[in-house]
Amino acid sequence: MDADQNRQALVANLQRVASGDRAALKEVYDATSAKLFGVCLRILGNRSEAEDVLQEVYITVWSKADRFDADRASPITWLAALARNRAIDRQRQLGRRSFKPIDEAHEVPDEAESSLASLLRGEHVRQLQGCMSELDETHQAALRSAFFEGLTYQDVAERHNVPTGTMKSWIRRSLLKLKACLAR
Amino acid sequence: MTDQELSPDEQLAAEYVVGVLTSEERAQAERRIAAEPGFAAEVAAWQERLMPLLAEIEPETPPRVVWMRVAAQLGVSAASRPAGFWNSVAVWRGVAGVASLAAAVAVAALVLTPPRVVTVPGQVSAAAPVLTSIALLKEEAGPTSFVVTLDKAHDRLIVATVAGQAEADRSFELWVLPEGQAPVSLGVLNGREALVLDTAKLLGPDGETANLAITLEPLGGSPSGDPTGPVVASGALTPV
Repeated sequence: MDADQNRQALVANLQRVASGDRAALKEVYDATSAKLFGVCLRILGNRSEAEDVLQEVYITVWSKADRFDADRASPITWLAALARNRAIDRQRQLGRRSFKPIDEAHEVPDEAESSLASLLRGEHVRQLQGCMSELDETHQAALRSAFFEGLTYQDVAERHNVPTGTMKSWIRRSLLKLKACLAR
Repeated sequence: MTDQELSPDEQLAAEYVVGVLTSEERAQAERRIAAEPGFAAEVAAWQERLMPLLAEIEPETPPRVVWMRVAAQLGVSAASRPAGFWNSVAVWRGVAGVASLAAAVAVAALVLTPPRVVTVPGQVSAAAPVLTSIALLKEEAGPTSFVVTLDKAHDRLIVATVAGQAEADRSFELWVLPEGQAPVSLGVLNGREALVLDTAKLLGPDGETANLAITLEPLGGSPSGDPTGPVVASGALTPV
């Protein structure tokens, strides 16, 4: 299946979930759980916490699928946002995580889509990667660790050894540039 | 809009999506998302902008138990066990005795087997199940061992094994426990996971619920027609 078909299947399954179809929930789970587990693991850095969050995510999908609006959000974005929000909230509850070495945090994957699920392929990946690469390298690294690991301004500032105020201005400037670049 | 900076709302939306806010700030932002469609739209726009970054994250298959916990949690929340049910099972267990073997089979088998739905050839079409009721069968206070779903439209009961495997010379047998009557066998679970039956007889007078239990029996099932072995799992079938 290509990205469009995948997306349509996911949309259809989410709509079936909204009407109370358990089998559809399993289909959504099968299609997306590996990706979302990867997302949660990256933020939480701990398998058992990530498993708990993933469980909550699909319980939430079950109860809130009716709020998914295919006209307003892509299904994978909706699911990924759910997973990230849950994982970030859990990470905040657990308190500050122990930091991983910076090298690991700021690895920039090669341009190849590697094992990327075709689900995300249609989502302007290349455009975003192009815009990211236009950012100052340090700022880009900071934005990446903030996004992938769900770090607070304070934590990401410590990670990069700059004052929190400096980190805020780095990330805010990066976001402004990204928005302008993506609108081109 | 200036190209020097984002509007305060837009900036907050972006920061929320990136994940740099503290929990208090996040909670505040979430209240605004719920209350202000304009702000919610800013957040949605930033989600669409930034989520493609997740393409870089390697997928990692979660352990199967995560799905089983999801299924169990959804079933549990839908279930309302009739009062007195556990008592009746406790009495029954007292009679049958609970062998340590049962506990070993039901609980220690953390090796999860994939839930399989096997239709009985020639009797059940491959039609998608219309699940109307679900039961999570487990040892009292133990983990879920079997998930039983009722497909009323096709008169079948689908049994998925979560944990536990009968020994080579024993069989799991599924029973329905009608109020005030002796247990009625629904069949032996030797790899046959879809049972075709008259669901009207299975369900209680309310047409919706049934109490189920699984016992460990001699190979091929109870020789007497009544349960002889220990109860390894039990639970109530309740409407989804």
